[in-house]
Parts: sequence; structure tokens; C-alpha cells
Amino acid sequence: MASPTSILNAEEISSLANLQLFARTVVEGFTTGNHASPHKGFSVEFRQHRPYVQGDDIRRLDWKIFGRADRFYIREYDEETNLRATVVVDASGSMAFQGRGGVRKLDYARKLAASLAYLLISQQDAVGLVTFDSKLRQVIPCGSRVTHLNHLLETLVQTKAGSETDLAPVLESLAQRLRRRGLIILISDFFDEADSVLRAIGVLRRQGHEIIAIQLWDRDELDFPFGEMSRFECLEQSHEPLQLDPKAVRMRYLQVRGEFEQKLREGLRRHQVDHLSLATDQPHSTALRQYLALRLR
Amino acid sequence: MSFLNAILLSGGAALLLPLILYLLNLRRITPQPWAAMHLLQAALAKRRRNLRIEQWLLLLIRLLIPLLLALCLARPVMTAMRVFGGGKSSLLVLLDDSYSMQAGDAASSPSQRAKQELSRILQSLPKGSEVQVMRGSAPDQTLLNAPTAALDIAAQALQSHPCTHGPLRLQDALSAAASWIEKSPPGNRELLVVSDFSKRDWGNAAQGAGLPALQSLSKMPQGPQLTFYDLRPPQAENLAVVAAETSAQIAAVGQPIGLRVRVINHGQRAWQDLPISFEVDGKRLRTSRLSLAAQGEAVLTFTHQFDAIGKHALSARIEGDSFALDNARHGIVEVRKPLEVLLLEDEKPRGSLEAAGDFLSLALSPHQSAGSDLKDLMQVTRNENRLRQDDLKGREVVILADVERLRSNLSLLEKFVTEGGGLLVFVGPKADLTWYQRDFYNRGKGLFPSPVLGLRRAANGLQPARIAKGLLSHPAMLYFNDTRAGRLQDAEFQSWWELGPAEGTRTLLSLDSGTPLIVERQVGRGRVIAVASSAGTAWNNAALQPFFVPLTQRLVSHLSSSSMVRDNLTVGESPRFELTSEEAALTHQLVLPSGQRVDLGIESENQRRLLVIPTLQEPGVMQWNCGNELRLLACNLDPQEADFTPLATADLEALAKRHSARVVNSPESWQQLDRGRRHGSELWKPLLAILLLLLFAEVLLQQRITRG
Repeated sequence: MASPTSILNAEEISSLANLQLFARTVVEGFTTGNHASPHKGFSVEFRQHRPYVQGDDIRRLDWKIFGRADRFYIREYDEETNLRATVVVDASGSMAFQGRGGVRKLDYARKLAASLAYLLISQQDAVGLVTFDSKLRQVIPCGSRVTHLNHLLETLVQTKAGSETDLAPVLESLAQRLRRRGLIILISDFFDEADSVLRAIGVLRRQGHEIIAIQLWDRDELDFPFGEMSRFECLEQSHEPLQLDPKAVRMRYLQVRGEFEQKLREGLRRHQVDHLSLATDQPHSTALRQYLALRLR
Repeated sequence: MSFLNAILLSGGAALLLPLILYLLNLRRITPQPWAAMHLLQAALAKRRRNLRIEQWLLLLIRLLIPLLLALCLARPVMTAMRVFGGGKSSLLVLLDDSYSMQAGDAASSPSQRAKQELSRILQSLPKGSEVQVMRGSAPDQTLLNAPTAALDIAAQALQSHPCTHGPLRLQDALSAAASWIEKSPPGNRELLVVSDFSKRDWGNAAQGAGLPALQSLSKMPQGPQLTFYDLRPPQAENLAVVAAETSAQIAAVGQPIGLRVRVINHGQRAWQDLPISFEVDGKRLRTSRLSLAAQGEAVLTFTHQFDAIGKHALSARIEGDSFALDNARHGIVEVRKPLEVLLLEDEKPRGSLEAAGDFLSLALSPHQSAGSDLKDLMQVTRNENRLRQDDLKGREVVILADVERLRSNLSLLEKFVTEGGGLLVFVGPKADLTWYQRDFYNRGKGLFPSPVLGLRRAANGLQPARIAKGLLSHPAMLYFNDTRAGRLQDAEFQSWWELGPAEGTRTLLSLDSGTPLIVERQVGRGRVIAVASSAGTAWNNAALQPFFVPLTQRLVSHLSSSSMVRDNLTVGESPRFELTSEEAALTHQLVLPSGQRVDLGIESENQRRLLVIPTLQEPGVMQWNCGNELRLLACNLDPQEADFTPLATADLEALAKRHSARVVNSPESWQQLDRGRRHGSELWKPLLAILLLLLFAEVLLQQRITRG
């Protein structure tokens, strides 16, 4: 059975820990008071121990463990929050794309989703997970326990790239599922008709959901760096293969891609949806920083 | 196609590189899994079709660039069209084969150069080209029966063509060439005029005289490319005997006859004591010496008395000049028994110079009239205007001297002339116009050569009519082309009968008003000559002029010769002689000056029997064996041909420019000109321009494709 460490290596976990610290500092700064926490500073409900990392408040050191084991551990407590975040991960065929020297967009999305979930749960926010391709495939309601995070990660690990992207019906279907308002983090390449996608997002927004749209691009999709004659084969089997000289269409492609992104960005802005465009060669930490930057606004 | 740097053409193989790269690219198409297909399709939607065309075009340009680069470096000359016949042309060579083309050494004469260099030119013509060679001295003759594409045959015909020594008939030749070119297939037509461009032949044209044929060619749609092939010899020194004229065509035994010889120095060198010899029947009798200044001339006369009846050849020959063909000139004289002439007149002879017959009798037998011991050729019998059968016995010529009308039976005279007799008629003031017109002319069926239209007189106070100037071509008149024989124009005519045109009638002399003065017509085997004015001094003073004696004697001599054969011929001509039925039944053979014997054929034409003599190609005395009879024919060069002086280079260039022609002087220069005419100059310049354009096009197309 896959474990979280199978999708998050030690470095990433460490990075996440740093991010968690960073996030916590930031989040505590702007969430304190926003969320109706009964205890300021610390929670009354012990959640777990975790190794000390530089920067942790030494007041939270468990000196008993240090006395017995001569190791620094931090005592963590659950903190109550009103935030219910649902990470929606696109697992369609187009997300299986992996450019030269890059990673699969789905892998990046899984890691990003895992990081976000880790970050949110570490902040004692409730996190849910939805994966989809042409329809909803996995829907995990929000939870805030550590065990819930494991469940989320296991689900992400088991998520495979599926069939065609059909984002609009999926979002409409999701709107019916999510009864309580919350934060929806939509991780996708949005390779669907922009108008229908925006229409569906509008439905979610009218239900009071706050949405962050994270659009993933492979670097090859951004730069179209191909030079040789190529046969472009659609990952979703929805288009016939195209045999062409990439150089001949590069400028036009870049123009069309820019127009597509701009149209999507404009539509999302009209719905007051934050839009985050990420390349899969960017570190996840960068993505999280951008996410947190969005949350700071 | 030929290449000046053919080895660099191998660089053209570089065209395979873009092709190989393209094919390799096709084989190495990389399968590329792709997610953003809808974006890619949107990018392609607008120009997918154009893109394919542009990519093919780009490939083509990339193939052409190395090919053109290699072609440029190889400096191509487009001759491929010739190999496949695509550049074939219709070439008419107008070959000047006149005598002047023989100037210089045999090996380096213009004629020899023409043969050798034309052969090289023919070999360089594109495959399939048609060639014809027209002779400048005989424009109606071509070296080939028909234009041929077998260029080697044309070259052989050129090599075997002898120089004919005839004069260049420039206008006729150009007209014939223009006519030939008009009939040749349209396309690449060329006229190559090969000549020594002697001042004699081309001087007038160079000074601005028109060449209508060339002007018409220049206006012809798809007219020919005109080229002058310059074969001017380096030197123009030449001495020539340009005339050797006998004082009479017919002489009596013992009668002195003169041979007047004219020698011209066409060169810049003066000659002293130049020997000139007088030959009779091939035997040198006397040698004289003369001096000639540069560009000067000299005249001297040899006299001789023959003691045997028959045809005799007289020749004058100079020695010392390297061009032998014009160093001698020949003439034929017939020595015969006295010629019996019957002179009919209205009045009895009174012995004083009053009647027409007095002047004629005196002119025809001057020695007898003067009581001299010298012999006259003609014995004149004067009769009153009556004609009996016996009167004509033994007579060869009858003269009607200013008679009103013939007072006897006209049929006797008609029979006399038809059987070969000669009739000389002077129409004087007493002439009965009605008789002359009705009976004597009889609508062309009578003896008189022309209708008499009426009496004409010089207007009061105006100048009398005179004999028109001009080159005389009738055998009896040739002598008077030289004014030393007497100026015909000194005679004044106050009155004359106007003679109308008639079929078969030839004008020997005309008045300056255009009216014929002396006309001739063949009647049966005889001839009739009519003079439109009086023989005496009633209407003119011709009888008082020095030329009157030789003129009347030559007219009578001419009439006495029943044969139609001219015995003084010119090189280059192909004479035809009318024969009697008896002569036609005999075998005829010609012995040329070189000793070669040629059997002669006879052709029939309008019930006439014509002896055909092939084109005369060498000067000298020829023997004509007519059955058992031996006749002599003299063959001389056209005296005009002796002047080799060429046109100045500037004049030739100006002449060529005026007629849109180009001048070349070697096969190489002709080939270069021809190449330029067909293909412009070498092709590397336009190819380089195309290459640059292709490079620009490649960059632009690449940018267009890349930018979408």
C-alpha cells in the first residue's frame, strides 16, 4: 500500500515542514481572529509529537521526552478552525503529459495537492479531496485529523490519469456535492472549453465557495520548443494525431496559448477567483508561496 | 550546356543535402504525446493548407540554392538547347564567290578562309539547324539543292565549291537572300554575309546608298540576325588588263585590225617598264612595255593583219603581277572574205556627200572611197530603190537608206532576212509613214522592228536631242563605252521618228528624251536594225561625227553574222546559244582554257534549240567543236573584279550599324556572337541574381512559416 512518503520524499517533507513553519507564521498572522479559535496560541487537544526544527518555539518543547530520550520534540495540539478546503485534482488524460525533462502534470498536481493538504491540516483546517476526469472519481469529505491526511495521500497515490477532460460537468456536479461553503483549490490544466468551465465556476461561486484555480503547464506547453518533424498524438484520444513541423507553428501556438490563458484569467477574475499559473518545473514551495500570497490578500 | 569551369559543377550535388535532410526528417518523425491538442489545432486552423504549400516551396528553394550556386561557379553557357535541337536555326550563308575573294596567297585568300572557317561555323551550329549557301555571284544558284540539316554535307559542298570569278551581284544576292529568309521557317533565322567587302562592291552602300533587301529584312517580323563575316585581305595590290577591244568584230584578210588594251594599277605601287605581250591564237607576236603610276592606268594598241580566214583569238597579257587571272584579256575576231552589202536609196548616187547613201557608202568602205590600197571589209553596192532576186544573190546585208518606201516586192526582202540576211533601215525625212506602219511593221508581223508613232522635232530655240549616256551592253555597241571610240553624245538630232515598243525588239541606243534611236529585232534567222533618224545630214549630224564610221561598220558586221553566238563571254555566266536545226543535229564539245573537254547539251525552248554551256569558271580562250567546225570563244573576267581595295574598317562598321548587323572576322567571334544572341552572355550573372532572390525568398518564407 502506498504511503505518503512514496509521493513525498524526505526533502519534500522537510521542505513542507519549513513551509509549514512559514505558513503557520503567515496564517496565524492573518487567520487569528478570522477563525473563531477558543484558545489563542495553543490548542487544548494534544494531537502529536514531531521532531524539533529550527525556528520552532522552544516553549513548545516536550522537555520530558528530552529528559528521557535526549531528543527535542515539539508537542502539537489541534486548533479549531472554520476553514473547509477541498482540493480538486484534475486526473484527466491531459494531466498525464510529461514534457522533456519535466514531470507529469498529474504527479506535480498530486504533490501540490498533498502539500496543500499537509499545510492545511497542519493548520488544523479541514481538507477534502476530489479527483476527476470526465466525471467525479474520488470524493473525500473534509477532515482535519492527521489520519485524514494519510487517507488523502493514499487516495492521491492511487489516482491515475484517466480519460478526457470534461471539467464543466464535473464542477457542476461538485457544486451539488459541496453543501457547506468553503475553499475550493482547483488544480488542473483547464484543457476544456473556457466558457463552459467559467460557467461552472460561476455556479460554485454563487454557492459562496471561495475558489483558487491553479493551472498547471508543462514547460514544453509553455515554450513549444520542438524542432524536428513530429507527430503530435493526443493523450485523450479526442483528437487525430497531427504531423507537422513544430517550428512552423510555434509562434502561432504560443499566441493561441496566451490567448487561451488570458481568456481564462479574465473569466476567473470576473468571478473573483484567484488564478495561479504554474509550470511543473517550478518547485512546489514556490507554488505554495504563491498560494499563500494569494491568501494574504 | 557547356561549362567554362565544369569541374565546379560537381558542387551541384549539394542539392541532395536538403533533400536528404528532408527525407531523414520524414523518416525520423518523432511521436510526441501531447495534451494541448486543442491549442495546437487552433494554431493550425488558419493556415494548415498554406503551410503545406509553403513547406514544399521552402524545400524546393533549398534544393535550388546549392544547384544554382554550383551552376554559377561552373559558369554555364547554355548549349543544351543545341544538343537537343532546341536552339536550331535557319542559317543562310551568302557567300561572296567573286574573283576578288581570290586575292592573296592560295592558302590564305579570302576564298580559302571562307571555306575553312565556314566549315568550322557549320560544325558549331546546334543540332537540327538548317543551312543553305547562296552564291553572291549567282544569287539564283545555291550550293545545296535544298536547305539541309546535314551540316557535314553543307561543309563538303563548301569545300568543293570552286571560286567562279564572277562579280558580286550585291543587290540581287541580298534580294534573293531576303526572299529565301521570308520562306524559311520562323524562329531563329540568321543571314551570314561572307565577303571581302571590297570597296568596289560595297562602296556605294557604305557611302549611304540603300540596300533595300536588308532594309526589308530589318522590318520583317522575326527577321533574321544579320552578320557580316569580314574576310578583307591585308593587301590590295593588283594589276589588271581590264579591256582588250578589237577595232572590228569582223575583218578581211589583209585588213589591219587593232586591239586596244587598257591596263589599270589598283595598287599603291608604281610600275616601270611593265612588259605587256600581244598574242594571236596563243602565239606571242610582240611585247611592249609600259609604265603605271600608283592607281594609274595606261592604254596601248596593237595592230595585226590576218592572212587566213576563220576565227582568231587576240590576247593581251601582262607579266609580273602575282594575280594571274586578270593579267590577260582575250578577244575573238572573225576574218572572212569581203562582206557584200546592198545599199538601196531613192536617188541615184551623185558622188557628193549629199544623199544618205553617200555617207553610208563612205563609212562602210572608206579605203575604197579614198582610193587607198588598204582593203575594206565591206563591198558596198548602191542601187536605186528596186529589189530583184538577182540583187540579193551573194549579199549578206541590205541597207535601206532614208527610202520613202520599198518600191518592189517586200516579200523578197522578207525571205532574205528570214533565211539569215541582215537588214539595216535608216528612216529619213521622206519616209511614207503609212507604208512603214502598215506594210513594213504590219503589227509586228513585218520586218520593221517597231511601230512608228510619228515625227518628232526639237522645239524651236531648244537644244537638239542627243544620244543618251549609259553603259552599252549590245555587242555592236560595246566599243563605244570608251569615249576614245568617239563621243556618241556629240551628235545632234533635230528630227526623228518616234518608235513605239514592240515584242522582241531590243533598243541599242536611245535619245536623251527616252525615245529609242536604234532598235533591233530577230526575224527568222536574220536580224533587222532600224535607226529612227536619217543616215544623211537632213535631220542630224551623226554622219559627220568620228563615231559614224565604226558605228555603221559594227552594225553591218553584226547583221552579217547569222549566228546568235556571242564569242566574248564573261567568267561566271552560263550562256545559252540558239542553234539552227542543222547545228543542233551536230555534237558539241567545249575545250576549256585548262584543256578540259566538256560535252555540251542542247535544250528545247519555245521551238528554239539552245546550246547550254555550264558556268564559266576560268578566263581564257575556249574552243567550241561544233561537228567538224572549230569556233573560238573568249572568256574574260569582269574588269570590275580586279579592284581588291577593301572598305575601311570604320565604313564597314558604320554600314553594319546602319543595317543592325554585327561584324565578325573569325569562327570564334562568330560563335561568341551567336552564343550571345541565343542566350545572352554567360549565364552566371542571371543565375546569381536568381540565387540571391532565392536566398531572400528562403529567409522570408522561413520567417513567414516560423511566425505563422
